[in-house]
Amino acid sequence: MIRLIATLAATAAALPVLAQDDWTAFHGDLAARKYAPADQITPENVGRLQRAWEYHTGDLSDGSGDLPPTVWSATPVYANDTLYFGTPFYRIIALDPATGSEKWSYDSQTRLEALTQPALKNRGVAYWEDEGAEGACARMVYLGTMTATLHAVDADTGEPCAGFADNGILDVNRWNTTNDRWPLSLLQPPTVVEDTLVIGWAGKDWAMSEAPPGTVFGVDARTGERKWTVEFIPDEIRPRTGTANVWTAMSADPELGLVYIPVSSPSPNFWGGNRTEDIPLATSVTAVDVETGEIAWSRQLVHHDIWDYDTNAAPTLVDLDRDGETVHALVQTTKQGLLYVLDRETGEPIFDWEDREVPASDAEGEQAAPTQPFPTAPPPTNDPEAWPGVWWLADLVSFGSCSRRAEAMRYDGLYTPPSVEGTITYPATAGGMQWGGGSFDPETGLYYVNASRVVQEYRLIPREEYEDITGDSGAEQGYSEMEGAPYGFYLMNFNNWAGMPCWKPPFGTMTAYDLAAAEKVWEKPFGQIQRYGFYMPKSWGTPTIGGPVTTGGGVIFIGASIDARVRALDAGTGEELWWDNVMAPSVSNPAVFVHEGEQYVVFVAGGNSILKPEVGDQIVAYKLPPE
Amino acid sequence: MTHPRPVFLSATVVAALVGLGFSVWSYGAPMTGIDDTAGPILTALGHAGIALCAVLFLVMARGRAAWAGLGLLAALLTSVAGFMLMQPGITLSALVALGTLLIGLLLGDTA
Repeated sequence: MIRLIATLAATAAALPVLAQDDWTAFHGDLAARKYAPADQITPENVGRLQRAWEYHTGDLSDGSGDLPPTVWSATPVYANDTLYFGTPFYRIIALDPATGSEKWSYDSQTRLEALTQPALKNRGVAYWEDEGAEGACARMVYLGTMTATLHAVDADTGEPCAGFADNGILDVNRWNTTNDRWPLSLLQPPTVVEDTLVIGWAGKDWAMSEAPPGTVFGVDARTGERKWTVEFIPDEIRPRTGTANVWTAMSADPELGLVYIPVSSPSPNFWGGNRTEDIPLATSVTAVDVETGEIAWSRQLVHHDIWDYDTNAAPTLVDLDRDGETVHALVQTTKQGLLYVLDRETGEPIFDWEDREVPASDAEGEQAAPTQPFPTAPPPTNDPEAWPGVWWLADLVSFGSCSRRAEAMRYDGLYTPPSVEGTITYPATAGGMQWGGGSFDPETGLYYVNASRVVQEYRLIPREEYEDITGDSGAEQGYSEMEGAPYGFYLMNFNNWAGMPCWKPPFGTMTAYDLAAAEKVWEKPFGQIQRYGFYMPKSWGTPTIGGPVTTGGGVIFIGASIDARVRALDAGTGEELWWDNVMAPSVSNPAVFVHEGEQYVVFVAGGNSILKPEVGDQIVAYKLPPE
Repeated sequence: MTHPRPVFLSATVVAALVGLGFSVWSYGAPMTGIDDTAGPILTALGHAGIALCAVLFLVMARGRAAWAGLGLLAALLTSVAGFMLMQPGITLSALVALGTLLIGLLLGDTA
């Protein structure tokens, strides 16, 4: 339940904004601001923050047994005086937010097979309520599965809602009529816009050329009936390519009736010789009418994407004061480290874009786009002109191997195409900014975002040679088969033999932007690398997955770092104010809400093998101790 | 009259055993953030080494310079390791062991 507590007179945002105690959506609200107005916890008292409770789901696997490993990136939903979340074993659990005791749980009984991902993944659940209605299924919780089913249960009891699809289970895969190379995995919860569920899906776009074409479905929240479908791959090229799907969160502006969709790249990720035609909706941010599914506008952020630069985060909707006028804008973060600020009514850039010439491909059959769009402002989180360079310490430890490998590879700035000799790619598919996106404080107009500074090696491997290499085509890092392409692919962090990054630190940052002025307010290394238990200097920072939440108390809460710590930062300065160790890296955004008059901050510690091979099943709630 | 060197070297042993305890505890305690890692195993070995060197220095007639040197080196490295593990218990006990060992060695055998 969203309550209108107050109209906030924002300095940057001219429009009133809703204040809320709840956290009813994946990113807190439909604007994906990741902002909680709660102000009990401040920079002055956050040091006293204590664990209120912790809960272990038991749903974890490190991959050493019969089950694949788990990647748990859920952000809990707080609604109906209950905390709801999904697990990587595809269960829904409802907890008492004050005590962490279980109210009910629901088991989808889905097969625990990593059909489209290297791991069993879940990012949580969605919540909907039928305004004014009472009784069974007047409030529902939705959970997607790897096998493409969407389960709807009563929010009070956890019982399946018989009136939704087939006794509470919607088989989304039946709408995949083009090819059935794999199921449309529902790992990200649907985005609930009034009475419509907007559903995207995940697949394995690194594995093959022909793949299910990207689709997003609008579904009736009560019945599960499909209202509309948006398709992102033109009909005529579907036999040769696919995906351009939507695997991450979306945002929406109910007043404009638009849902904002971050669309990923076409398949296969790193070779485009099979799809040299324009695919204008791929790697884009696209606005769609939430009632009809018609495309209102679309902006392609990468032409002919051959880097896996999926648009990977829900755009954050912000109202900016520009020259005395309020501009309804959105901010789209990217893996490339570029921030695009657009008018969310028209899709026009708020700050000018430039089409800059970019390097040509030297791989036979590839036709890289001659130009790419670069925003002139705000400044990027990662330098598009130069990678950080060889780190003397890693080079020393590797007896000069880092330097020799760097010299042997191709690098001509951002958008250097993958090549047979190897390409230094920075930022690469690991980012830049990841799918946690940024958070926006409407009171100050500041936007906070974490970014990784990871250099990766991209290498095309001729098919005959690839066949001789034993590779795991399902892995997100390492070898990708790219079936149907004349090349296989090798992707790995540019590390030395000891696992040290060959590039200079910092490896991750946290940045605050004044969006109206389009400038950085502060930028600091974020997180600490931990190896064998030893913490490296703070100035090195860490790569991150997950994102921040900002609060009305002037505190940023964030996990995301490789060191399995959750932190509180001063929103004004970026200074680290508090931290706690959790079971595994917290690779999602936290949830912040007020329950029975007390402010809670809840982190899920689930881990992600991309950061480190550590899994968790822990959910931890923090609050201030009694005075 | 009590000789100061055995007193200080005994204090070194006690501090190192306390550090050993902290290391073992850290290895098993999830809230430390270093559980199940190699770090606390190394500091446990370091603390055990400090204690052993101090005892051998006291009881052995030969090779005392080597035991003293090894003990100091182990204490120094364990202090640094404890600091990098961000474990005050391990670091502080290693620093106390280092300090008492150093003082004990400087004082000599006589009262």
